[in-house]
Amino acid sequence: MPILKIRGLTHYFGGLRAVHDFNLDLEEGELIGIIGPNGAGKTTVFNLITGVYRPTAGEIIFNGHNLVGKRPEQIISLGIARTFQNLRLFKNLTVLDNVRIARFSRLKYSPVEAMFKVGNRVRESEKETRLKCLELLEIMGLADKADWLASGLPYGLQKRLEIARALASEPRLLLLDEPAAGMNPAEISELMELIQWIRREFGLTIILIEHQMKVVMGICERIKVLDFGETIAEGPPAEIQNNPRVIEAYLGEEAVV
Amino acid sequence: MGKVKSLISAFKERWDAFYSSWPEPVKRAAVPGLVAFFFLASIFFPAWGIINLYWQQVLIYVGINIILTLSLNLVNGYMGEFSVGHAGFMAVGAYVSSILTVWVFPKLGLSQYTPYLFPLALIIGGLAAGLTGLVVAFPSFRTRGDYLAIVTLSWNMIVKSVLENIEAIGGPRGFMGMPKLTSLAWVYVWVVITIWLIRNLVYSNYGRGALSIREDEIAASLVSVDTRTVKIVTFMIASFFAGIAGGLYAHVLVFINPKAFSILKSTDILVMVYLGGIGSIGGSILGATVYTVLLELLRPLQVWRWVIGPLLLVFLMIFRPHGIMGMREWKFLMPPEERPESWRKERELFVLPKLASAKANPLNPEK
Amino acid sequence: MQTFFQQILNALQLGSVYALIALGYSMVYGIITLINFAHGDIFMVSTYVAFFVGSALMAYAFKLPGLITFLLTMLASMFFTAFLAVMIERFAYRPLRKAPRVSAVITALGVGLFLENFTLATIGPHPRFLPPIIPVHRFTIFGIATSNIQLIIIFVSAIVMFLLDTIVRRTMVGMAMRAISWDKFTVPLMGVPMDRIISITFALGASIAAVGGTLYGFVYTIDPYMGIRIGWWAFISAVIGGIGNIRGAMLGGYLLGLVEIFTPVILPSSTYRDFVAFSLLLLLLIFRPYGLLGRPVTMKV
Repeated sequence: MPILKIRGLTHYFGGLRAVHDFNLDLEEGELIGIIGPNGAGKTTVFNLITGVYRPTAGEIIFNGHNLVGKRPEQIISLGIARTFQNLRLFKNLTVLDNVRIARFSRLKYSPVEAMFKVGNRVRESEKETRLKCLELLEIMGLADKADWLASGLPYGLQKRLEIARALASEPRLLLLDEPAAGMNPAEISELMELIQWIRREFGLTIILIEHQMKVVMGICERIKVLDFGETIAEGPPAEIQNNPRVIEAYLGEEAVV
Repeated sequence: MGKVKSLISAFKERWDAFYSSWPEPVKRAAVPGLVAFFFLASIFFPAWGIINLYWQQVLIYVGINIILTLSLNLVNGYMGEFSVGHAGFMAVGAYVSSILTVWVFPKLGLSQYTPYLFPLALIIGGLAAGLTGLVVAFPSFRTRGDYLAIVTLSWNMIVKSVLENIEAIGGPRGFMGMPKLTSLAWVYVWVVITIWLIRNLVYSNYGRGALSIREDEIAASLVSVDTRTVKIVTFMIASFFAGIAGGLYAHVLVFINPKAFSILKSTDILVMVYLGGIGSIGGSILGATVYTVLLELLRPLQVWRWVIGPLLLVFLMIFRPHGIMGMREWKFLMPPEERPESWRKERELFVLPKLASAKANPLNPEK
Repeated sequence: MQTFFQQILNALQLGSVYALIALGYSMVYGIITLINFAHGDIFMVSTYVAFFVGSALMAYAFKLPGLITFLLTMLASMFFTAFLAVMIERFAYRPLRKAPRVSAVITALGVGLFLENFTLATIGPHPRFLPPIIPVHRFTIFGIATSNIQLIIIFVSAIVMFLLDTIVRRTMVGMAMRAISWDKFTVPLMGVPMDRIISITFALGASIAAVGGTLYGFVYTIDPYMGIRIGWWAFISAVIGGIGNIRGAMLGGYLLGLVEIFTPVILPSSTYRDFVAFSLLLLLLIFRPYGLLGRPVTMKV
């Protein structure tokens, strides 16, 4: 049973067709990539999966749940997490708070309980959350900066923080939107190792949008290529590299590995 | 300006050194002790004539304004919304609690118990106000920014207009006859309760949820924050406390009319929030105190008072939009488990030992 | 039947004033996405200017024909009000162009309140009447009672609105205004002097409100707090019509004139007018926040 099944996903913005007939069968544990020129509709696919937009047509089934029509927070709570093309951290909050926020739906106490602070439920849940998040930050090498403001971190650590935040909700499916943006070759290698490590360590299924071919060809098992919303190719990296349609549509940045 | 800043930091250093020299039990007892002391002071100082009636009145207004400012700060400061009609909720609390003490309690034969039922009247007034908070919570799902400002202002006007049209409670001429139940002690108690409850809320899941909405609402929903619930909770709690403040206000002035809850009042509350600093409990306390005392000192200027207020607001917005204590907090107001020292300790005690036995990860290859 | 048409005329009269003021709200919102809450109070100031200039002219230049006095009064009011608006934009709003939205909104509220209370403190609260620059002639057409003032208000307003529409659609300035409202970032790069166009927009909006103010002063009393009453109704007009949309502002103004005149006919008491107007606004904001003639805006994630 595929963990994510997408059929005929199509989306129009007014008269503009952003995505057309996108299909996907994603097995648990896979690491696949979506590539394509700018404006091809890649981030739109992420936005459709996570409920930012309601698709004009099509079906998205995650773990047996139908995602179409659900609000983003409901979809995220089902076990999907994502990062963003242009980093969307909570700038004025601390590093720890940024990560803790991702566990919002797991904290079950009511506002009244929170205000009166009686009983153990609030105290215990908060402690558990803090420790879990500190652990996560420790793994990501950010724990010593837990009380820093997110805006005070250097760019590379901010990207790591966003990944930590995504992991904090204990997702099954992770959507990474251009995680390598703005990185130098050394950082990119580190990122590739990190992605594969967290996949093993946390048992994740990962979809990656990337322009850096080194990353895509290096770690993705399967690649889908989008152009003007259409899927123009699909297959293992070796096939995609030599696909003439892909090369024609996409003379991207690091076009050759 | 620099001289003032260096004076303040010198003072802070001295104080930190002094504070850390205290033994642990004294540190723990300090805040509760002070709270208890001021409570007793609020009862006995007026009785013994140490504070005259005038200053009692001023302190009572300071207290009421602290509650108002804290409640609005929840919505505007922590959640970053545009609620500019807060006086509307105050009005609901004022009228509902007054109706209870003037009509309902006597009707139920409880007149002689009214002083003891005062908290109940306040709470019911607050609950009524809290319910009306839903009226602005729902539009906030779809609109933000300027549009929400219009919605909240309209609601303020509607409340005022409705009150002016209900003859039974006096219409535009106002409502009176409430017993003067608000004392310095009562106000103090309610201020402490409000600070306690709001502080706890702010450092909880819901507080973080509100903050995330302020920072980036879409990202918040994409990290599992149920923005609708958080908005409803925040608006309702904020309106509740505004209602409590309204009830206290009604029972110290013993006369209320719709004009008192117009947009001028809402603007006063806005000034206090932005003066003290958004997203800060200490800021709200400071802002309310400074503004109330300032206006009191300007009383001889009469109508020019109301010229200074808005002017101050404009200057504030242009030169120091974050206020005195924007997004910063006094240490003693933060719960112990939320202070950075506590996080560092938890990291040492729980996290590092646990991970010492874990496998290496790419970011810490030497582990 | 005649009463009905009389009331229609009354509604047009009031609606014209609302429309003129609503234009100011819409134009400013269109160009810098700010709801200039102070605009109603700017209107109030314009009526006081008309009052003082008109009274002075009547006292010292009584030989001038009424029409000239009227025009001079209106022009003086337009000029002074435009100047005031440009000053407010320059010193209160411009510093906040890069600041978070809430600062600008709150500042606008503050400026409005300042104007109200300043006028109250300096001139006093008693309501005033503009002097009878043009003597009132009441007459009936087809059995409908009206007056020369009423017709002047309706027609002058219509002419001014038509002029504005022409300016916005046919001149370079108007084109620049529309361009900036569509794309704030590219337009300055094309060599359009943004600051100047914004100042012009404020000046235009204020002078049109001043026309409304002068006309209004002929029929109704003026007081420092009228900015709240009239300003808010005009503001509701602009939002109902679709804020940022000039034709929407005009439509909204006339609509609200109808609401104000016909609500007491339908509901028992005239004190319900505020309630009706604001409830309409609230309902509209919930179901169609971009107004009758506005269009929804999509955002990129």
